[in-house]
Amino acid sequence: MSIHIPTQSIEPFYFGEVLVDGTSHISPSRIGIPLKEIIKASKKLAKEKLFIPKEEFDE
Amino acid sequence: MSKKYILLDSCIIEYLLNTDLNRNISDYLQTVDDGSDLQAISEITYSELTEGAFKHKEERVFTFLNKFTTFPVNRRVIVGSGKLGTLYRMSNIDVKRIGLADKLIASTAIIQNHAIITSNLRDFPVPYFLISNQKNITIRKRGKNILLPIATLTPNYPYINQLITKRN
Repeated sequence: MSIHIPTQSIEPFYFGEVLVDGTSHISPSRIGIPLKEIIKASKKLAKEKLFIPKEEFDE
Repeated sequence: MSKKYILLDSCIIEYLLNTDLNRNISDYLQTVDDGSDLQAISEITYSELTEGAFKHKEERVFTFLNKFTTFPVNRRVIVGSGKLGTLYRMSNIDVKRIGLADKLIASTAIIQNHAIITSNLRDFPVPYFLISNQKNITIRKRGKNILLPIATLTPNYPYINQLITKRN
C-alpha cells in the first residue's frame, strides 16, 4: 500500500527572497537514479559499516 | 505545477546505510514512492554524513549520495533558513536545538513545496510541518526495545504564511 501525500493549495507569500506559490524556484543540481537501484546499492554498502557508531538509540 | 520531490533528511540516508535499519527504511521509502522516483536530498547532507563517516570510507558515502537527485544550498535556501529561524523564535521554539542543516532542508522544502522524510521529528516542528504519515520501528539495542519514528512531513503553508504576515 502506498502512502498518499496530500496536495496543498498555497496562498502566495514571500519567504525570504522567494515568492512561495507552489511552483519550482530551485532546479536540482543533479538528477538521480531510480529508487530501486539506490536501495540495491544501500544493501551492499550497509554491510561495510561506513559510519562511526553512535549511542543515539540508547536514550 | 512543478514536480514534487520528497526530501530525505540526512538521518534517513544514514539509517539506510545501517545494516540493522536498511530493511525498514527501504520498505518505508518504497511505500512512499509511487514509482516516480521522486526521492531527493539536499547538498547539505554531504556535510552531515561526512561528519559521521570513517575517514577512509568517505568516498563510498559520496558515491552513494551521488545516486540521489540533489537540491543545491543556494542563497534563496540560506535566506529562507534565516527567515525560518526568526519564525521559530517568534513561536518560542528553542532554535539552539535545531541545527542549521535541518533549517536548510526545511527551507528547501518550504520554497519548493516538497515533503520531507525524517526520523528526527523535533527538527521539523509542528505546526510548521504537519505529519502526513508516521511509522514507528522497534529496534533492539543493548537488550532494550527502542522506538524509532519515521515520518513524512509537509510544510504547513497557512500557518507559515500567517506568521510571516504577522511579522511584516
